[in-house]
Amino acid sequence: MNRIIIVIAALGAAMAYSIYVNPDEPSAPPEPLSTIAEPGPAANVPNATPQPEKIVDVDDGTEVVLGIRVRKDRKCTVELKDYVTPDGRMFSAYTCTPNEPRPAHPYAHYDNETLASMSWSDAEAAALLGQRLVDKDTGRSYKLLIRATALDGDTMHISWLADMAFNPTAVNGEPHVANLESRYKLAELNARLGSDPVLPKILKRELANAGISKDRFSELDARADALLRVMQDIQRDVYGEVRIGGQDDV
Amino acid sequence: MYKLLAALLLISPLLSEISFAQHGATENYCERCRDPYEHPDDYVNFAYDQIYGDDSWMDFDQADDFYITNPDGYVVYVDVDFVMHGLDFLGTSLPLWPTNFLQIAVALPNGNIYTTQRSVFHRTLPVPTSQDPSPGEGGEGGDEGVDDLEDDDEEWEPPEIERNGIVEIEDPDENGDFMYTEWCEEC
Repeated sequence: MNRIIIVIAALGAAMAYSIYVNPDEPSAPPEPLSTIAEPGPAANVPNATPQPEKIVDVDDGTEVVLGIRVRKDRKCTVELKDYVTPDGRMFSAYTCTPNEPRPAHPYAHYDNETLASMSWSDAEAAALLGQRLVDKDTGRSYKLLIRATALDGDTMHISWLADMAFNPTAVNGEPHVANLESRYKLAELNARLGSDPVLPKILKRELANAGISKDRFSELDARADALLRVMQDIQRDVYGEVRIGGQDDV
Repeated sequence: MYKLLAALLLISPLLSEISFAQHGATENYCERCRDPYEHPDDYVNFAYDQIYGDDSWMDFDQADDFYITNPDGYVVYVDVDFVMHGLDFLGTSLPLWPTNFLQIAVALPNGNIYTTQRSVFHRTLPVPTSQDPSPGEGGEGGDEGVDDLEDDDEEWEPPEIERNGIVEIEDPDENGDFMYTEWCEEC
């Protein structure tokens, strides 16, 4: 028995040593520069030339650039730059600068009123306006993103709303029950629209752990059904038929 | 002595994991991230964009944990994991396979942990999360009024827009600018 324990212990020690000297581990962040730059708004250190990409091909879809493993199919240039904070502290950090400017949304130049007038039948307009208003007017954003999903059938509008407006936990892991309920309701709605059915199960377990009763789950499920009916009504108004939720007027 | 040595050897993998939990976490710069105490979602979205955004570049090993520094010098530690789904057995959950959701935990400079989730199917998420946020909201969106949608029987009406004559919508050029239009007052 003692020999078995010794063997297991030796294997554990070997594993620990392999973790310590694992060559695949990226290197630690570089030490701050010793030179002193003028304090000011954090920005690139003047006259500090960013180091060019030094590429080592790993042949598994990644490559080692500047000491860290990154994806080959990236559309940006990895750089290691030196920065100085307003209080004069210097540090080096990685950035990946896009090779091309990201194309703006085709409606990005429209103001909110214009988008509101377009959102009756334009899913993109409804989604963009809903995203713009998510912090200022969550209720209106909610309606617009539900409408966007009703118009184009893309459940990602609802997922976006759930992720951006309803954080499941407060600081230090305390569950935010009201937000969890909203996420559960939206996840149930998405599941009814054919999206991933796993998330409602996970959220249901978290809510149950938070002490939510079965009656409350029934209420939330009923609300998800009500939201589905709202979306069907939107489709009847705009398209003259229902195309989602297992019902087809045609 | 023998048992002490054996115990030390047995827990050495655990100790090494703890010791090197943040070993290899790179430091990344986020120019648009704001105060982490008021806007922790900026860091969550920035972390997501490094992994799944349009300009993503991090390998999964690299993206597991890393630091983010903002222009004011705030440094937060980010830990990214898949939300796991599994079997419930005797009151405990046994995680078996990853779902399509990320659990992103942000360790704020004061030691508080801010945890949230993101679907992996988003494209680039906004950083900053909003241009004109209400102070103190911190990403915990209230749902006041959102359930009114289910009882909302009002017909949708577009906002009133004053139209004077024929209005044509002109598309901007690739820079977002509109061509100069010469108006005819006498027409």
